[in-house]
This record gives sequence, C-alpha cells and structure tokens, in this order.
Amino acid sequence: MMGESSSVISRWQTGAGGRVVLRVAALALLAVLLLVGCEEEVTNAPPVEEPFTLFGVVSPTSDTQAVAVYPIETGVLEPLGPTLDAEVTSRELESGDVRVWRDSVVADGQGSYSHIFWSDFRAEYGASYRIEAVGVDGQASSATVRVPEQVTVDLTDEVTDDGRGRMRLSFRPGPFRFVRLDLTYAVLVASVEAGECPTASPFFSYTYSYVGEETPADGGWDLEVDLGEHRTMMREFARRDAGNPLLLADQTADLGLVALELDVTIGDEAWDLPHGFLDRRILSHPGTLTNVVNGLGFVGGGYRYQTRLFPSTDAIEEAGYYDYMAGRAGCE
Amino acid sequence: MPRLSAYLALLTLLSLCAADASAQTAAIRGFVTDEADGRELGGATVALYEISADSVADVPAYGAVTNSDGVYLVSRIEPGRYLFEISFVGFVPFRDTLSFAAYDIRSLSLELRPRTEEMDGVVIEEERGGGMTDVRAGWQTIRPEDVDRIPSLDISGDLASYLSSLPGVVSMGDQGGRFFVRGGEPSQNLVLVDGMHVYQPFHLLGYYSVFPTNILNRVEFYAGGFPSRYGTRLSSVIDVSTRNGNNRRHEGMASVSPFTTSARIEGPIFPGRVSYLFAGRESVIEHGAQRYLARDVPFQFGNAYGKIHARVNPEYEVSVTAMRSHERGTVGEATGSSAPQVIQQRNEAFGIQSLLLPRFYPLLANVYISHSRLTSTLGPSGDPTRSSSVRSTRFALDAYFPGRRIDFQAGWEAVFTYLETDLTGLYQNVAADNRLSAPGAFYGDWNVEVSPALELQAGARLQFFGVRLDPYVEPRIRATWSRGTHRLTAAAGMYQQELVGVNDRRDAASVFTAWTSLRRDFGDIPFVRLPDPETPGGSRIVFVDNLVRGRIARSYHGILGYHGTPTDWLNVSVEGFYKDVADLFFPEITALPQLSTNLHPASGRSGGFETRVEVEQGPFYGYLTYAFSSTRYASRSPANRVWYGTERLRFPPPHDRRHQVDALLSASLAGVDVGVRWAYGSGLPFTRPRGFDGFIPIDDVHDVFEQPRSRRVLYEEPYRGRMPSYHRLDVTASRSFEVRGGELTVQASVMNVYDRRNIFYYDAFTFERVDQLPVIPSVGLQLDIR
Repeated sequence: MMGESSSVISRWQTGAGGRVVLRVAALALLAVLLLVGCEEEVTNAPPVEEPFTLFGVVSPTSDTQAVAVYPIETGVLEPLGPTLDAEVTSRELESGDVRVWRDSVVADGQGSYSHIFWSDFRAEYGASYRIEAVGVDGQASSATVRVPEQVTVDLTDEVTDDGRGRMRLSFRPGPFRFVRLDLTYAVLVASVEAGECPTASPFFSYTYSYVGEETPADGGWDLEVDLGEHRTMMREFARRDAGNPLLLADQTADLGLVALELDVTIGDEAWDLPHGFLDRRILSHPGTLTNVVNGLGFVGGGYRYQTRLFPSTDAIEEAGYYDYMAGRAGCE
Repeated sequence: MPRLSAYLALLTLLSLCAADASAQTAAIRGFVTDEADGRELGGATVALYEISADSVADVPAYGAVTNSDGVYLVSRIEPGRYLFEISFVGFVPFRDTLSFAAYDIRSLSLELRPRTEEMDGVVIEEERGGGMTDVRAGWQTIRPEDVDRIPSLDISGDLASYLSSLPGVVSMGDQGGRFFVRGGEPSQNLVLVDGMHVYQPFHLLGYYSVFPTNILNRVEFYAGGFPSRYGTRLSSVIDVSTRNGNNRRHEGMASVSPFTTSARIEGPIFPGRVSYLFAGRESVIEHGAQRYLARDVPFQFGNAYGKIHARVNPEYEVSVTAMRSHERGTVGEATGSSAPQVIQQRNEAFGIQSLLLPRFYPLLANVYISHSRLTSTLGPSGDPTRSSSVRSTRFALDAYFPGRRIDFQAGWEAVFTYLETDLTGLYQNVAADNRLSAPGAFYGDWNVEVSPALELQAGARLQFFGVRLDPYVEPRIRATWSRGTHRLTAAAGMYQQELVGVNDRRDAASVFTAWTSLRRDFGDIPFVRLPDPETPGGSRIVFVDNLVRGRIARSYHGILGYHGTPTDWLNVSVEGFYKDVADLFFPEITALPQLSTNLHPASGRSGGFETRVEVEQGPFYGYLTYAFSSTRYASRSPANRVWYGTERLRFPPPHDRRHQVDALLSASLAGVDVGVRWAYGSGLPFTRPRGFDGFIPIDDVHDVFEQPRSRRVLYEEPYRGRMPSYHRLDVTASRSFEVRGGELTVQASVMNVYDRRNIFYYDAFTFERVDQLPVIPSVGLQLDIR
C-alpha cells in the first residue's frame, strides 16, 4: 500500500527539512489533540411556541361547521394518536353564544389520526365568530372569522363606443373577497340560413377565472367583462369539440352565446390568497395564508354562490356572437 | 444554419493552419513501454539533440512527453543527425543516433529497462506522481502512487480516498458517495474511463469508487478551467486511463479485509502483443466489519473490470474495456409510518479505444466507441418508488497534430443519451419522463509556445444541444509562465450543460439522483400568471418549472495559480478560483414531508483559494492543505416571493464548506510504511426544522372532512443552519514480505482514530443527528503473485 519501503530511518539525513517536518507534525498533532476534546452538537432553530394549527371554513350555507386541529410539536415526528388534549369552542361575538365542538377522530391510515372538531349549527351572514382551541396547559390558539353578508349580483350590459360588448357585474354589499370568480360561457355552433330557423350543435361550456380583475366600488366590487375576449379561442375549442372542423368554416355557421354561469366563492377579508395562488404546495408554506392568533393555519368565513346570467342581444352580437335564443324565437 | 456553416468553416480553416505543411521536415513516433511487463510508460521524456561536426548540443532541439498510452510523436524535425534520447525515472535511458531526411516519418517503439540497485549502486526512488502541489490552474495529474499514499480503509487503495483529500473537493464524509468540486454539483462532474462515460461512479461508502488503484494508469483531474476537448459538464473533469495488463507474464493479486475482498489477474494472451487484465472487488461488510463495529454499515457493493489490449503493429493499438458495478444501501431509519429507504444502483460500461499513428502523416488519432448505462432505484425494500436510468452511446475522434512551437488537438464527439425517470408522482414536475438527448461537438485546442517561459493553450468548442439548432460556442484558454522554480498558471473558459441531475437536497442523506435533460419546447411546462408590478393591471407569465426555452445551464471559470519550489524538499502552491453559474435549477423546499423536485431557476457563484505545502525529505513525505471557498446560490421563483417576500432568494447551498484542512505524514521506517492523515471540514449548511403540524389546503369553501390532509414540517428560512464541523484522523501501517512466488503485504489501519462523532445528516423528522462511521480498526492481507 504505502509503496516499497526501500529506505530506513538510519539513512534519513536529519537536515533542515527533517526538522521542519517534525515541527509541523508536532504542531498538527497539537491541533488535533485540541479538537479531539471538542464535541459539537447541532444547533437547533428556535422551536415554534404556538400550541395549535387550525384549518377550516365557517359557512352560512352549511348546517355543520368543522375545523381541523393539529398540535404543533417540536419533538419527533410521530403519527398523531386517537386522542387530542384540546377543547375547541366557538363564540358568536355579537350574541355571545358559546358552543363546545366535538372531536371527530378520523383515521388516516398507518396508525395516524386527524382531529376534526365540529358543531352542528348554521353560521349567520354578517356574523363574527371566534374559534378557539385550548390545550390542557391553558395555551390557546384562536381565529376570528367574520362571515360576509349575503351578496347580490346586478347585471348591466352595454355596447361601448369601441364596438365591444361588455357586461358589468356589481356585487353588494361588502366587505368581502373573491376566493373564486368564474364565468362559464355556454356556447354552441349555430348554422343560420336566411329566413329559416337556426340549427345548432350541442352546448359546450368553457370556464374562465376573473379573480384579480374585479375593482372596488361603493363598498362592494364591480367586474367588467369583455364578452368577446375569449370568443376566438372558444370558437377553436368548439370546432374541435363539435367533432366537425368544417362546421365553422361554413359562412352560415357561427358561435352562439346562450348564457353565462357565474360561480363565485365569497370569502371574508382575511381570505387573501397570495397573488391568486391556489397551488397546494404554495399554500402549504407556514404563514402564507393565516389568521390564527398564537397559532398557525387558516379559518375562513365564506360561502359559494352560483347564478345564471343572460346578457342582452345587443351586447351578445356586439361581442361577435350569434344570439341563438333570439334567433330561435318564433321557431317551433 | 448560416451561422453553423460559418463556425464549421472557421474551425476547418484553423485546423488547416495548425496542421500546416510539414514539407521538408521529418517526424518520429512510437510507443514506450516497460521491458519488464510490456506496459505503457506515460510521462517519459523524449529529446532530440542536434549533432554538429564534433559535438552534441546541450539543449534539445525537439522534445515530447509520452501520453498516458506511452505514445510519443515529434514532428517538424529539420533533416540532419540527432542524438535521440528517451528517459524516465527509474529506467535506463535509451540513446541512439538518428539521421532524418526530408519527409521521413519514422516509427520507433522502445522498451525501457528498469534500473536495479545493482546496476549503479544508487537507490532508485520509486516514481513519484505529480504530487499534491503540482496543480496547474485546476489541472492535476494523479498517478496510482499518489493514491496509495493516502491512508485508506482497505488494503487496496481507491481513487475516492485521494479525491476526498484534495482541497476544493467537498465530500459528505465517509458516506454518501458524492463529490462537489469547487462549488459545483456531483452531476456537473464529467467522469470518463478510457473514453467511456460513467455516471455516479462513487459508492455510498465514501472510501470506495469503481476505481481501485490496481486498475489505474493515470487520472487527469480538472477542478475547473478544462480544455475544449471536454464538454457537456459545468464543473470538473475526472478522466481516468486504466492500465494495460502485463504482456510478458501472468501475475495476480488477491486481498481480503473486513470490508472487501478483491482479486486481479493479468497476463499475455499473445506475449508482447496482446494482454488481458481482469479485476474484481466485492464488499464483505455484513460478514466482516459489521460483526465488530458498534453500528450498522448497511452497504453492499462490488465492481468488476476487464481490459484486453492489443498492439496490432507499431502504428496501431486497440483496447476493449468493460466495467460493471453494483450497489445497495439503506439510508435513513424507520420512523413512525416511514420505512428506511433502500437505494440500488448498477453501472455498466463497455468501450473500444483505437489508437492510430498513420504512416502518411505525423498525427496521433484516438477513436472511441462506448456504451454506458446507469440504473438506480430508491424506496422501501422490494418496493422502490423511484427509478432513474441513463443509457448513453458515445462516438468520439481525437486527433493530435504536434508542431515545433504550435501543437493542435482537435476532434468531435457525438453522444446519444436516453434518460428515463419514474418518480411515482413524488417529484411533481418530472413524475415520469423519457427523453433522448443527443449532444454533439467539434473542438480544437492550440498549444502555443510563445516563448521559453510562456505557453498558451487556446481553444473553442462548438457544442450542440437539443434545445436549439445553433451550436453554443465555448471559448477556453490556459496559460503557463515558468521561470526558475516559479510557475504561474491561469485558465478560463465557458461551459454549458444540458443534463440535469435532480436531487432532494434538504439534507445530506439524499443519495438518489434523477437524471433528466432540458427540453426544446415548453408546451407542457406549468406556468403561472402573475400581476406585473411594473404594469398596472398587467400580468406576465412566469414558468414554475425549470425549462425556459432555449436556455441552458452555463458556467464561467477563472483560475489563477502559483507553484514554487523554494528548496529541493519543499513545494508550495496557491490557487484562487471563481466560478459563475447561471440558469441552474434548484429544487424548491416545501413544508410537506415528501420530496419535491419542482425546480426553480437559480444562479450561483463560487470563489475561494487553496494553499498546498508539500515536503519530501528522506523517508518522510507529507503535505498540508487549506482551502477556503464560498458558494452562494440565488433561486428565483414566484413562490419565493410569496414565502420570503422576495422572488430572488439567496442562500449557501448544502455543499458550501467554507474551510478545509488536510494533512498527511507518511514515512517508510524499518520496512514499515506508516501513514497518518487528518482531515477537517467546517460545517455544511442545512435547513433547520422548528416543529411539525398538519396541513389542509383552504383554497375554497370545502368540507374539511373531504379535503386531503398531510403532516407538515415547519422549517426556518432555507440553509440558515450549519452542521457541526467534520474532522477525522486515519492511521495505517503496512509491511511487505517476500514469499515464494510473490509478495505478501499486511496492513493495519484505524479510521477515525479518536472516534469523532461526525454528523452525516440531521433528520428533520426526528430532530436527531445521524452520525458517520465511528472508529474503525481493520487489518488486511494482500498477496501479489508474480
């Protein structure tokens, strides 16, 4: 291993080099001996001191409210056991009503459990609730949730000077945030011959999100929709979905807009999704979306609202669509 | 296409210029071998001294050095009479008088006779390698003798032990099998063995690789600034030449230790012309060391190597090389619901190398054809959840045109690489991925002797990658200035890489690499639309994934070094380096307790310096090295903005080892070779956990009962923690005895003499440290049969 040992120490001429070698070796040995005695441990980061993480939604459209409660642990990552030493309560801040929630122990498999606390009441629109988890040591985490008022939507449409069909939606009253703001366009491919009733393909639905395009107005929100914004793309989709690529090449065929389906989730003001991110791994980062005091997680207040909208014929046609419903008027 | 044509025309023109007329001149070339065993002698000096009427010149008129194949080639020799001399340390020089006429191209292959003590009464020093300090702007030639000086766990030495001792090379210690060179990543190291690509050649038990000393001829190691004949990697080159078998007589070796058993046989098939060499090694830890060590060493590995070499005629050699290795190791411990992860890896490579000295022109040509394959899996035993494989076929031609003051080396290579990954959805953006990568390149390097003191090597590489049609132009330059005992070297270059080795690097225990490559299109790449802060109401598309069209990871290197020999027993060297890396991809860190390789575009830089002092006096040899380096990455991601308030997150990557010290003292005393090595490395960065909770995505009004639930790790900001420093003392002693028919060597070694608790990784799920190996005593026997 160390090569041929063709030399012996008696042949070593103890010159300046040899002395330097020995001195360096002695110093190195000293340094090693000094370090031998030093045991170093890993310096841990300061542990999280808050007791609980809460996740849930308080909704006026549900008869049962539920919140998942996780203890924040700083020891070994072990599966959660079937019992959790915590009491979860809710207090309606306006009335002072207090409810004690019950633990629903959910087996997650592999010997692990989740603790989802629930209470069977329907939240009030516009009411505020304080959800609190208290441990046996008195440490508490809480979230205050204000359920938004019941929102109504008004539709006005117009044909603007630039020849584009627009639709204005007014959502009142505030305050609230849009967690979801989707418009689904119900369209079809209509074949129109002069003097005859139009025929059409089946309906196709294409959904677009408008989160982030709303503007504040009069304590609520307005949304201006350019009805023709997605028309070209939908025409391509419809051509493909209709399974007949020649259909839209037919000069007598056009894309008809039948109705719009509005699908919104009205959330409380704390429900501030970062830049509209809905990505699970983004939201999983602690602190990304939280309203829990002395704890982590997020408890939102909100509800989902869906309605169907029918813009005027002028707006539909100005946006470049064929008004199929108007064309069918008078037909059998 | 016009640009491509222009590049090719330029390269052709320059090639023709470099290989300008050898009219009216002569050339001589041949092989230099050891008379005793017929093996190649790389590094032998060839000199031609002009002979005038009554005297021989003191200074050679022409010279060359044999390459790793023992080949020399001297051209542009003016007609006349010369004293031709070939010399090599430890061998009797060859001298002859030769007359050259115009247009002569001579072949002269020689066998040098080893000196013996009886011949001239002097002690013949064994051939020393370049030594620890002989580094030239990141370039170091490593010989088996260098490797054998490093105390190692096993009686048969290994290249891995030597590499881990080099300043600027960061390893994870005695486990992990990964090397980071001057801030680069393991997947950015190019490893070639006789022209074959080898991926991940280092075993998990960090003392071992697929390169035991007994198959090595020499290793060209570039820590950066590598010339244009190397490409497709950003960081470093490990170019291994294996040795040929003895073509005079059969010989063998067998060794045994508590860690491995190994054997080697070699000999002539047709004496003097064709030889074979077969070597194998297999771990026996479970039957040996495991029985007396205080903890599990859950690693099994083995490798086999074979080479047949034929010297067909004085102008042509061919060798066929095959190697294979396997690996199985367990990483992590069972915790709660998670089982230990078993990694299995298999490496195979097969190649043909032809070496040609054409009769009609003074050039040396090497042709390489090889196929390599790596497969690796990770997951619970018997049920791997991730797999990755690389299969590549390489064709390459390398030609060397020597000149009197200008040498030219040029060539091309084409590599067809098929990559497969199946990550069972855990790696979110590359869950299952199959793709073909086919990089190709033309290159040329000019070596110019500007003056007796100054030598310049300039070159360029036209590198083709699949992400665009036009080649990437990569300029490279090296310079050496020598005067007396002083030598200054410098190197710079541009490097690009298409292959991506994806690791989860939240901790040091991550040993699985998923290989993928950049794509030309980005139709299936996830992107997000973000509000544009510079345009009110506007938005912009930001790619969440790694693959931005046409962009490829690239790096710039700059190195400046000094080497000096103040006295005949002392060598010193100092080198500073800087690497800038752009368009890297770094895995994001999520709070979910599962691996994620969503990749974020990142850039980085690494800078530092290394000092080396080497002494050799009588029976003593020693060195002391110190390296300082600082590596910083900046990761760009919209998620960073959400999490940390800035899209550009700066942090030291997990291999940012700031300080390294390595000291070796070896001596040959009373027939016993003793080696003592001490290594120190400051702590590596890691991301510290602060606790655990659970997570349910609240991204709409959902029924909490129906939502997916998972546990969550509460980390602090990435890589703000530092693990404890690493240090270790290793000692070996060996003695050889002549026995009938050979030599028996006994080695005793103790690794980690003072039982330092060096941390391997910190388990974020148990808040517990997992340490590297404790004190390891070992005894090995090796029998060399001649």
